[in-house]
Formats: sequence, C-alpha cells, structure tokens
Amino acid sequence: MGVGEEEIADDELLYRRISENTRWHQGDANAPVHRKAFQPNKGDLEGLSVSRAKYETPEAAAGRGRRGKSYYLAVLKASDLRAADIAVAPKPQEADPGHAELPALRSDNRKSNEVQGLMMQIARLVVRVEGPFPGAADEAGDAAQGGVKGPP
Amino acid sequence: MVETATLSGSVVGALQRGPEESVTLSGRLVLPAPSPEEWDRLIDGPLIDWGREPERYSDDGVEPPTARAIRRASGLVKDLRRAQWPLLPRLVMSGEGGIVFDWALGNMTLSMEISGEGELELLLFDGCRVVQRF
Repeated sequence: MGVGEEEIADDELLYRRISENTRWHQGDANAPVHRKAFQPNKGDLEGLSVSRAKYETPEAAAGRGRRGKSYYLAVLKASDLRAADIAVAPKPQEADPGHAELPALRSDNRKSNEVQGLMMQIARLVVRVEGPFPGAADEAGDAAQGGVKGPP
Repeated sequence: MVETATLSGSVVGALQRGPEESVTLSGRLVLPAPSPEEWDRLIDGPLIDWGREPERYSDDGVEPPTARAIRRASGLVKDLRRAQWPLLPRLVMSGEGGIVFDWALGNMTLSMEISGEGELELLLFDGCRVVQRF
C-alpha cells in the first residue's frame, strides 16, 4: 500500500481550504463557515477535495493556495462526516499524499438539492477554522514545500 | 429548470414585516430593522470591491462575481432597502461568478443566488434540506 492510500481513521482531522477573499468565513475561529466553501468546483470530477491533517501542517495545506493570497482552513473530523453518512476516501497524489475526497459532492451534481443540502450539513460540522495563512504556490496545483510532515 | 413555487411559512412572513416592527424569532430573539446606511454598506463594501478589482478575488476554482451579477445584486439591495426588508443578508460570492444573499432565521435559511449571467434563484432550507427552490 502506498503512502496516503491507507483508510482514513475516524479520529483524523481534514482541512478544506477557503480563500479569504470569498467571505465564506469571517470573524473568529468559531464563526460559521458558509456552505459555498463546500461546493465542488468544475475541477472536482470525482469528489470534493480535502487534505488529511496528519500529512501536513496547516501552513503547508494553506500554502497550496496561490502566492499573494490568504486562506483559512475549515477543520472537519472524519467521524463527524461518516456519522452524517458522508463518505471520505483517500486519493493521494504524487505531490500531495494527504489528498482525500468526498465522492458524494462532485462537479456534475453540485447544483442538485441533495448536494446543496450536503454542503449545508458539512458547514455545520466544521470543528474550527484556522488561519488565515499565506498561499505559496506559483500556479494551480504547485504544492508548497515547507512544513510538509513525513509519512506517519 | 426548477418549477415555480410559492414560499410560505414563518421565514417569508418575518421578512415581509415593515421596519417599524422588530422581528421576533421563536419568541426569544429580537432583531432591530436595518437602517438605510446599513443597506448602503453592502453596496459600498463588498459589491464595489468585487467590481473594482475582480482579479483580486479570482482564485483556483473560484470565479469572482461578474459585472452583470454585481449590477443585479446592487439593484436587489436597493429594492430590499426601498421595500424596508427587515433583515440584512449575509452576502458572499458564489465562486462561479455569482453572488449569494442568505438570511438565516432559526433553523430556516432563505438563499437568493444571482448567477454570473444575472439570473436569480431562490432556495429555502429547513435545516440541511432544500424544501423550496425556484
């Protein structure tokens, strides 16, 4: 089994990166996150992307965003998602072994009532918000190098 | 295409009250009606910012509001102010070129989304379930 392919444990924390400019999160760490932070974009063909906290620091996860911009991280717990019948699966990538996806939320069904409801549900499951942290990638998908944790 | 529907229930009943009245939710929470200046701040703040520097709000997978969406949203804010709508919305970008107005009242959320093409869609949530859409 390769790095990042192991099943996500119930007690694992997951990060969803939120651009500060969107207003999807405002205020302190306990302020509500807007459901739009969990809407798949056109590139989310197989599921909504999240990062497994055990693979990288918050700074590194946020650092995958663009240089010159700032990002919050909405923190979710795997067991909370599963209790709400929302599956989360590991989808490691070469430069991002902690990449995972929520396959119920995809670009092709993002406008459906079901997914709009799931987005609202996930927003209510946010444990806390961290950041903002600076983005460090020069282009889309260019992973930040600093702060990446080694394989557990 | 979603079918036309009529909103009913406490959400719209509350939203339709005049500014001279306070809005009472579940007999516990009393919200003062917003002033014209508070409505203006929605236009002078995020809507003008989004229109002035759209590239600042562009990101991977996030499209900033289009000029058409901003014009429609500004018009909607003015209409709501003129109609003495009793609650300010939470205003966010949709991420797909549009703008979202949300009102949360107890467990109900009324969401008006203006698309990047300027089309308006309304969703009513009861908790995490969409119960009306048109």
